[in-house]
This record gives sequence, structure tokens and C-alpha cells, in this order.
Amino acid sequence: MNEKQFVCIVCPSGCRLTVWEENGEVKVEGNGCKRGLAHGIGEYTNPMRMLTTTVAIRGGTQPRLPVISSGEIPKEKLSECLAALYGLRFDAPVKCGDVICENICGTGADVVASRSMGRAASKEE
Amino acid sequence: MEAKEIARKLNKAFPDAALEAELDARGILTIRGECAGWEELVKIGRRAAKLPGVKNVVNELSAKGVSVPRKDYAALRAKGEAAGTIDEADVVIVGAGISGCGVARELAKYRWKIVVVEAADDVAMGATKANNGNIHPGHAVKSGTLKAKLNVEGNRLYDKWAEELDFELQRCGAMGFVTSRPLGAALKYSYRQAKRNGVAGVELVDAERAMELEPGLAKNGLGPRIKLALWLPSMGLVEPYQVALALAENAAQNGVRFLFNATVAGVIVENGAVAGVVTEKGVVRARYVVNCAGLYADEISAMAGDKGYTIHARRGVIAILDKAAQPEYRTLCERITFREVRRALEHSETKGGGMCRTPEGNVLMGPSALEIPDKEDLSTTPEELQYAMGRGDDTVSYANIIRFFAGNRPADYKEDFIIEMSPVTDGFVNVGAIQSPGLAAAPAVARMVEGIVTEHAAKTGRPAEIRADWNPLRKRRPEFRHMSRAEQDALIRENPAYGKIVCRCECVTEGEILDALRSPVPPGSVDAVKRRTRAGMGRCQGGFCQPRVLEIMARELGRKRTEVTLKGEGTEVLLRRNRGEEAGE
Amino acid sequence: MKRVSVDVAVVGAGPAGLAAALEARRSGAKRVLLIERDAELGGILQQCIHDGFGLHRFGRRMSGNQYAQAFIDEVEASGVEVRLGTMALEVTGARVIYACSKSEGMLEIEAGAVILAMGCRERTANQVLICGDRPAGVLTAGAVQRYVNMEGYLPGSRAVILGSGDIGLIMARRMTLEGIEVKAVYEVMPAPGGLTRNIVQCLDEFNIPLHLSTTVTRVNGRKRVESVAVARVDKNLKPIPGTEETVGCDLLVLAVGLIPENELSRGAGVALDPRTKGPVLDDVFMTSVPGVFACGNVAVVFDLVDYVSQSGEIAARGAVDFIAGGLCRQPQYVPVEAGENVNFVVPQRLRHGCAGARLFLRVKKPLREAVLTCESGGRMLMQKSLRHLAPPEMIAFDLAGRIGDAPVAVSIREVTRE
Repeated sequence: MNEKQFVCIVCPSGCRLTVWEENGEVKVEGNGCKRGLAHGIGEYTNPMRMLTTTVAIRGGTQPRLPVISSGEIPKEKLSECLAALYGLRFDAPVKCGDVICENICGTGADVVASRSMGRAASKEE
Repeated sequence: MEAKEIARKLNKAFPDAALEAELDARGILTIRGECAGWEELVKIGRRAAKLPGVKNVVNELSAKGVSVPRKDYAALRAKGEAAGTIDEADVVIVGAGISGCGVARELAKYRWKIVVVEAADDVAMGATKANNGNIHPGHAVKSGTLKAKLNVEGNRLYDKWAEELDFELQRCGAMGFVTSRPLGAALKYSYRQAKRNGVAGVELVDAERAMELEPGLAKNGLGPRIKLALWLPSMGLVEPYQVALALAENAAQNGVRFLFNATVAGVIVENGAVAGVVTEKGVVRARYVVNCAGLYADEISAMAGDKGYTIHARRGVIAILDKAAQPEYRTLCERITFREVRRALEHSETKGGGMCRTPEGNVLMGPSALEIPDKEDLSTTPEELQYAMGRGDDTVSYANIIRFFAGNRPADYKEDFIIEMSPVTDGFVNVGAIQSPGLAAAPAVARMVEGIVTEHAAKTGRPAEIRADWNPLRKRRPEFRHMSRAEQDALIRENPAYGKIVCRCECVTEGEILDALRSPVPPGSVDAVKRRTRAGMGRCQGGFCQPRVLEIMARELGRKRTEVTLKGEGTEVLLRRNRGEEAGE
Repeated sequence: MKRVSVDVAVVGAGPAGLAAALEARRSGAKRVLLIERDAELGGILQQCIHDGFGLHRFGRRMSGNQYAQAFIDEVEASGVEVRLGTMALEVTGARVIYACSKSEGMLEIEAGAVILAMGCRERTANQVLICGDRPAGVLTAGAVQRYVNMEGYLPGSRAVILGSGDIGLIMARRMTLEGIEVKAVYEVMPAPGGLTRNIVQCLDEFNIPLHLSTTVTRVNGRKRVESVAVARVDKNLKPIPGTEETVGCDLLVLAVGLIPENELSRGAGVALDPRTKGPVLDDVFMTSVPGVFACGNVAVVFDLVDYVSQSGEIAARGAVDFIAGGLCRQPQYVPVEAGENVNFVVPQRLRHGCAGARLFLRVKKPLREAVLTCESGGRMLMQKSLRHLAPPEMIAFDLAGRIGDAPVAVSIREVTRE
């Protein structure tokens, strides 16, 4: 009986979920709807998160390029993925949606550029 | 009165204290022992200073439960001595506040090598930047004091300084009025004191004349109720750090060297005469040392062997209001109520304040006055802020506050200026206890010190010669926000850097920031740039412009962004780069 | 001085200005000028790298950058004239804008219609009367966000956040992921200021405690922040003596409120609403000055960028209508009144005879179940059931039907079930 508590974030109701495992089955209490049930089970068994961060970019109009994962990735892999990204270097120009890192840490999700960024015109700005 | 008698009198007046006193030939009274608390300690000192035969007071009392932090001069001195002699000058000025910068500017006209040593990283870092910029007429200062004389003289000399050094001086005038006839006595008292002090243009006027001089009084309906008003046309407004900067830049233009981050930790005395100072950066030898060290002037004087006074800090809090909160008066106009008269009597040592404004149009509220043991404690408290805000009428809302801060006044116990060649150490000139009206008196203070030093030089066979190439004029930098659209356009075409607005609240351009960085007394921190350009002084308090100012500074000064400070070493704005970045730019 | 004549001039290229400029072009305006003081388009979205944007408009969860890029790409293809690095210094009541840039000097822009989209600024430590020392290490959340997300620098290593609005919560997570220890979030009100979703994903997720009814009263540290004093507050939000605690930190982050940036609006003579701190607007988001419109955070502080874009589009259509002569210059207005449980409504007034409007409001307190009603002259114009209302979540709705000459009262009545 490994009980966990979550506040559901699917809709503004904010139902307080209690989730536990019983006889190999995951049970949820407190959900107000089906989506909440799915959310509770997901959070208990395999919580997923979007990854958003910035990476260093060379020769761009800004020193940092914001990036985002193409889909949610397992929460437990977040630190590993961030660490992997911080070691990378890219050159401008970049187009929004360009794949920065394919299938990051084997999660199946890509990390893509969150914006387009051109080359810095001159060093004055 | 004899020392024993003084001690007995004081112990009687303050039964919770146990003190002894010593009186030397000069009339310097040294008090030792213990008393009940800091407030009492200050009261004892002030009471002692009023006694006959007491020229000034060195207060070495300890107050129960209060530990007074002391600077570790020994360590700094050792560091400086190890560095050895780094310069030789004719005159060393200790402190780059309004007094030090004023003296530097006046002495720069002579063929002398002058070095100003300053503990902080910029000019005006003490009381000079923390007051409300009033050039007082001199009516509220006790007649017969040195500060009264220098206040009135300094006020008169300000026009010349403003013209030559190109800083903003607004002769707005001041008016105090009463709506109750009996309180007119307070105005008449001020008028008589003003006349005795030689204040120019002071007048007692009726309601009609008062409303002519101050149209705001007709607008708000108070005018017709006026029974009597005191009009002081010589009241002026400046931005005090701009004055100090203008003086310093002109001095630097004329060859004066400024050494910042150079706390004086020792004064070298050889054969009863001053021979230089030991700063934490090294030794600077000199024939004359002019002590303009503000809060620390007593400590510097003691280092020179002349323990003749004690500075105790009196903290004042000032609140700056949003420019949208327009002042209701054009002049500095105040209604004198019974509460005001009582306050003035209780705190006779603090000057003016209430509701003022700056030349740039911000209303200032305050200052408050609180005796504190720690000279470096510049923190604000809700009570002090409340006092400062309470100095205006009820229409002033806390919602208008964009910034509030504290400054410490360097008060001695005699509550007068100490400007003299030390009778103990030849060549050491004290310019001590310069609290209000120090700003107004500054031109006269500088002139007086110039007289002291040049007279001494003449008497000792090495008279000062005027430099042929002395340039008394200093031009201010372009101020984009004060120009017409056509002028702004022309300026940008001449130099595109003026086309980029960095501080949107105060409309300060990149060109002005670059100008400031190229000043003969260049700013080394974000706040120093702020004081010179106004970038960061607006309602968003740097929220928008700070990253941009930081970038410009790093680029122009060739530093890493993590090396740019807010106000000197240890105040870096940015600690490190994001994760994953290589060290360095 | 260079003189430029345009049909529609938009001041600010954040989400509001981008949407307005685009919609003005789409609605047929020939010369649409978009001026932006920063070096690139996007406004505040440039530093919003987190996701959660665009759910209503695009049906996806995007980052602020992706949301902005969608508009930027279209603006660049649409024939809107863009002037970057150009700061508006003055807007006159005659619809003339003075703006300057390095490359062009001072510009005098004559516009058929002006759309103000300057966004907002952040409340500072001084404005919430935090006393004590004034060291390095006190920054607003937006400034920290800019340093961390755009410039790539960290302004501290152990942080305390004051304010539980969304920007404070988002930064709690961002700072933690970047290696800054966030010790706690303090909130002076008894309820959090931001969305529950953000409390969960930004605070609970990282075990960052949230202390309600607690505020920061003092900063300690002469050079750099060394600690802050926090105290519990009473129901009047005044610190309770004796409840002070010292919390060690080197960074105090302030997320204590956004203030619409209306200095230019004031200069143009635009009437402001003290409740929203933005201009008084009508159904086409026109201000009290004919031909001057406002949208986005400069009009009222929004929480969903989708609504910001909508407000820009409404203003743009109004502006194009105005130029075409289709809008009455000095209309008769009917006030929109904020009734029960409603903090404010924007727009604050509607033109007689207008065919409806999109309205935005905030409730005064959390309500589980309620009914939104619009009544005018004794008639019920609309009713709508709503659930789970809270002040941080702005409500948008369409009011259809011809507006008469009686004030419109907008109310939210709580429904209680046994």
C-alpha cells in the first residue's frame, strides 16, 4: 500500500486525489471525472513532464536559445535530459521547430527550438 | 568650569550614568564611563558641550547593552604600509563628499599636486547623496555659529558655482506661513535670526503678497487664511550628488587625482607635522592633509594625534515620490503649525525637510532623525518612514512612494562645523562635523579651507602659485530628456548612441551612459552610473534598464558581466552563468 | 525630423501588439506600422520559455516563444512595417507619435489610428514598503526571468520569493531547475495569487513551501542580501508583532504585482480607470481619446495570452473601422457596472446601439458554482453557469444583442447547494 497524494491539474476544480496500489491494481479516490482518474494513474505509475529550458547558442541575436520537448517525457529523466542539453552548443541561424536533440535520452521525444533566431547582424547590439 | 565640577553636574543630571570627565588646555572635554543607553549617551554629550569652557566633547562613554562596531583599521593599515608609497602630493584630501570635492575644486587652481582619497567607490557616497538637496537660506541656523556664517555665504556663492560648473540650481524660494495669529511669533523669531545671520532678501509678508509669490496658495484655498508669512527668496534646490560630481570632474580636469576604495587607516605625523596618510591601497605622502571624512572625520583626526571631537551618527530617512505626484507649490512652502514649532524646538539640530522637491520634479518627504550607534547602519525602519511621510499633509499617499532610503548625518556634540588647522598637528586641517547646512555652505567651506591652507603655505615660506592653465569651467553632459524634439533629432544624427533609450522611466539614452563612462571621474558601478545619468531612478527602479546598463558597462569597461557591481566590491548583480556555460564570456 | 504617415500605428510588439498589427492588415488597413523598443519582436514572451500558452487559441500547449513565433512569422509575411529598436516617447491626442531609434533619429509618426500595446511593469520592493538595507540581490521576478532565460545569468544562489502570482511560481520552478535553491514562497494574502496548476507544478513538485498570510518586512545585508525578515500578517495585511522570523538567502525575488505602463497614455490625455490602472475602454477597445485604442496588459493585466491576442484583434478592427469613418467619433456611452462578486469589467463602457461585445472580468473571491448575469434596464441580456471561479483566472464572455441606453450590470451570483 504505497499511497500518494496529488492535486489534479486537468481542470480548475483541483480535486485532491489519493492514489495507491492494491493487488497489482492502481486505485484512485477523490477524482471528479474520468480525466482525473487517468491523470491520477499516470502520476502514480509514470509521471510525465514537458521539458523547457534554454541552451547556449553561438552567433545568434541572443546568447540563449529557448527549447521545448516535442512531447512529455518521464519526470525521472528530466535531470538527465537537462544535463545532456547543457553540454551542447549550436550555431545560429535556427528555425522554430528545428530539432536540437533527437529522441533525448531515449525518451522518444525530441527537443526542438522554441523560436526562430537569426544571426547577430553586428556586434553592436 | 573644572572637569570635576562638570562630571559632578552631569552625574547629577543623569543619575543612571556613572561618568568621569577630563578637560584639556584647549577646552576639549573627554567623558568616560557608562550610561543607561544610546539616547542618554548622546544627551549627555550634548549637555556637556553646552557647559562654559567646553570647546568640544570627546564622548567615550559606553552605553548599557549597546556595542558600537569599530572598523579594523589595523588590518587596513598593515595592508597599506606593505604596499608602500604610491604617491606624493602637496595636499591629500580625505573624503570625496561635498566638502572634499569642493575643497579639491578650489585648491585645483594652484600649482599643487592634489590627491583625494575616498573609502567608497565613488564621490558623494556618504551624507552628500542622502539629503534633500536644499540650499538653505540660513535663517534656521543658530546665530553666531560658524555654520550660520558659512551657510549664508555659501548660499550666495552657489550661483557662481552653478554657472561655472554647469549643474542645475533652482532658486525656488521658501515660504513659511501661519493661519493662526499667535504663531506669527515663530515667524518673527525666524525673521530676526535671518536678519542677524545676514540672509539676503528675507521678508515678512501678508496674505496677498504670499499668494503672489506662491500661486499654489490661492489654488488650494489656504492663501486667504494666512495671517503672516516668511519669504526667503534665496532657498535653492540642487541634486547634491550632481554638485559633488561637477566639482570632482572640474578638479580632475585640472589635474586632481581621485583614489577610490582607499580607506584611510592611518595618518603619518613627523615632528608634530602631518606627512601623509596610509590608505588601504598604500601610502600617500603630503604636506597638508585636509580631513573631509564625514562620519569618520573624528577617527581620522584622532589618527593625526588630534582627538578633539566625536562624531555620532544621526540617521535620516527620505522617501521619493513618483513624478506623477505633482508638488502643489512652486516654492518650498510650508504651513507652520503648533506641532511644527514644537518639532523644530525639539529637534533644533535638524534642518528643514518636510515636503520638498528635486530639480527633476520628484517630491521628497522627510527626513526623520534618529540617533544610532552604528555609523554604517543605513537601514530604514517602518517608524522612520512613517515619520518622514508624516511631515507632509494628509494628501500624501504611501502609494506614491517609488524609493525610500536612509543617510547618516555626521554630528558632533557642539552641533557646529569644525574647520581649522589642527593646533596639535601642523598641516592637518579638520573639516569636521559637516552635517546640515553642509551642502548650502559648501562653497564657503571650500573658500575657508583654501584660505587656511594658502595662508599657512605663505607663512611657512612656500606660497601657493595660481596655475596659468586653470580652467574653472566644466560643462554638463547632454541631457536628452530636456531637449526639444528637433534637438533630440540632431543629437541622434550626430551620434546614434543617443537614439537608443535605455532607461524608459527617466528617458536616458545609451549615449548619455557612454558619456558618463568617459567622465574624468568615471563611474565604477551601476549605482554610480545611476547617479550620473538618472538611469534607474524612475518608478520601475531599474527593473527595465538594469540588465541593459549592465551590458553596456561590461562591454565598455572590458569586464565580465558577473564582475559588474551594484555599488562596489561584494555587490555583484550576477553571480554566475547558467548551467552548462563555459566559465567566462 | 523624419515624418511618416500611416493608417494604423501600433506601439509595442508583444502578444497584444503583434495580434493587433496583424488583424489591422487583415482588416484592410494599407499602412500598418508596428514599433518596438527592443531589438526583436515578442515583448515579454521572449522571456517566457515555459509552456502553458495557446491552449485556447491553437489547441496545443506551447511555450511563450512558440506562441510569439506563430504571430511573428505571420507579421513578417503580412506587409506590416516593423521598426525595431524604436521607442515611443510621446503620443499626442491628435494621434501623432514621437519615437526615436539609432538609425532614424527622431520620428514624427502621423497615424489615422493609434493602438497602445505597451504592456506593464512590475511593482518594486520600495512600493511594498520593505524596509532594512538596500543590498545587491533584490530583483523583481521579471528581471530575474530576463537574466536567466535571455541573458544566461543567475543573480543568486539561495532565493526567497515574495508573491505567489503566476510569475513568482513559474520563476520558483525555473530557478530550481537552474540550480538556485528556492527556500520558500511567501504570500501576503490568505490565498495563492496564481493558478492551482502552477502551485502544483512549480512548488509542490519541488517541495518548495508556500507560506500564506506572511510577508517579507525587511531585507538584511549591507553589500549583498544575507537574510530577510518575514512576519505573519493579520486580516488587514499588517505584520503581527512577535511573529518575525529570519530567513537566510542571497536573493529576494519580488512578484508583487503588475502595473499597466500608461505613461504614454496619460500624455495623450487618455482617461484611466483606477481599478484596472488602464484606460477606460469601450466595446472596440477605444480609449476616451478618439482614434486611440488600447489592448493587452496596458489596458488591464491579463493572465491568458490568448485573451491578450483577442483584445489586440478587437482594437485593430475598431481602429480600421475608425479610419474608414465607420465609427462615431464622440459616441454616446452606456457604463458597464461591476456588480456582485465582480472586481472589474473591461471594457468599462459600451456604445449605444453596438451589437454586442467581448467582455473580460475578474471575480473578487473564489466561487465553486455561480451564475454570470448581464442585466440592462430591467432586461436580462444573458445568463451563464460557471464553475470553479477564482480571482487569478480572468473570465471572458461574449455579450450579444443590441445595447440600449441603460447601464449594463454584470454580476456573478454564487449558487449554493445543500
